[in-house]
Amino acid sequence: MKPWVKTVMTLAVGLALHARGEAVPGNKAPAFSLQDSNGQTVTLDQYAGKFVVLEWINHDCPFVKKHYGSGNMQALQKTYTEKGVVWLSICSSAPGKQGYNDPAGWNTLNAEKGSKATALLLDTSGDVGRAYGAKTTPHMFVINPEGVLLYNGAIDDQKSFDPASVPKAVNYVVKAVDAAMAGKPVEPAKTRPYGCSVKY
Amino acid sequence: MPGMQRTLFCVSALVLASSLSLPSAEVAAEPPLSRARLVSSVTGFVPGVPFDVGVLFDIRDGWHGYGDPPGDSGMAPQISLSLPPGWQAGAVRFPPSLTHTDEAGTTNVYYRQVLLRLTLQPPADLQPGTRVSLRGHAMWLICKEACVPQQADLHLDLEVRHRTVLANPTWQDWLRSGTGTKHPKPEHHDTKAKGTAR
Repeated sequence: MKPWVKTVMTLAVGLALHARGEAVPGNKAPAFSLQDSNGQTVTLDQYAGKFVVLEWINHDCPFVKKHYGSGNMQALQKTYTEKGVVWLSICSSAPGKQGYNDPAGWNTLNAEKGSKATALLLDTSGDVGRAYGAKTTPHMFVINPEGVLLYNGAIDDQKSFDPASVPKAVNYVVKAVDAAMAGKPVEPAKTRPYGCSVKY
Repeated sequence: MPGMQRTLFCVSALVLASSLSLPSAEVAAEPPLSRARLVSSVTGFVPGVPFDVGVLFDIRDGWHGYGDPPGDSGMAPQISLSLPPGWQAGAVRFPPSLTHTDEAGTTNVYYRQVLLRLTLQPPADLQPGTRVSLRGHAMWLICKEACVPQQADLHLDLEVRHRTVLANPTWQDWLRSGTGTKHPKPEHHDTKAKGTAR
């Protein structure tokens, strides 16, 4: 085999392995199996029959700090988990990159921040983030009880790290979950997420 | 003035108040990661005659700021000016940004130094010989591997002139340097003339 052919093939395989997917509203949400911060295996399939919210997280990101510092994220987590919604915070930071913590570190952080999420999942390989096309922290996804993706995008319409922007926000996750729980179509189903890049 | 978008700017007493309460910046010996200044094409303007001002961002080597739209992540700079009564401001104009691609996506970025410009329309009834003080606030994000939020109070004092505008000689330097590219645009040289001038 000519060396350049080998190089091209290696590159192609490399690209395929790191291919970024895109979770499309209306399609089946990509299945996953990840360890949570307590060492338990969590799969999307186990929550069939429930609404699921996915939240990409990195506590060192100014935009995540805005939503946790203001209590906005924890309030959403509390409101919806009390309604039976499963809320999964996912960290796709690679070890050594910003936002990465080991499981014990996450449990400490979750307690400090007052997280009300159902679980914190560690996606250290970044595979789940890539399968969903998670670009930012935060980046939010809403999945219905049939496992179909209903929403992919920003948490709200305030593309800023300024805490003063929280009270005036139109929250897209609230809109999506409330509409879906009332049997209504989700609008918008896709927005452009804002925040720090995911540290794959 | 047609095309002026006053809605972009919050005429905000809060902004003014916050400028008074902020601690003085750069107490540490280390220079800041970035800074922003309100600069002007003129040092003196004539009532009723529009002129350009800009917010000049200096960004430390290795870091980048964001254009508008920022792309897959990041944040476009947020600039608010609190202008005196009767003033109007045009939309903020961004120079062409550079594309930065990494594993998480593609963003529109600036390096080194970038000048965002806008046109101000002063009222016609200002008194020549007096001075006008313009105030504002900027919030912007810079990133390297990690992202760091930045903010600054902006201020600029200008002279009200009777008939002739007083140009700011440094403005051309800022225009040339404030392109957000990794290297400044080289100064224009007439190589032919240079070659013969001994």
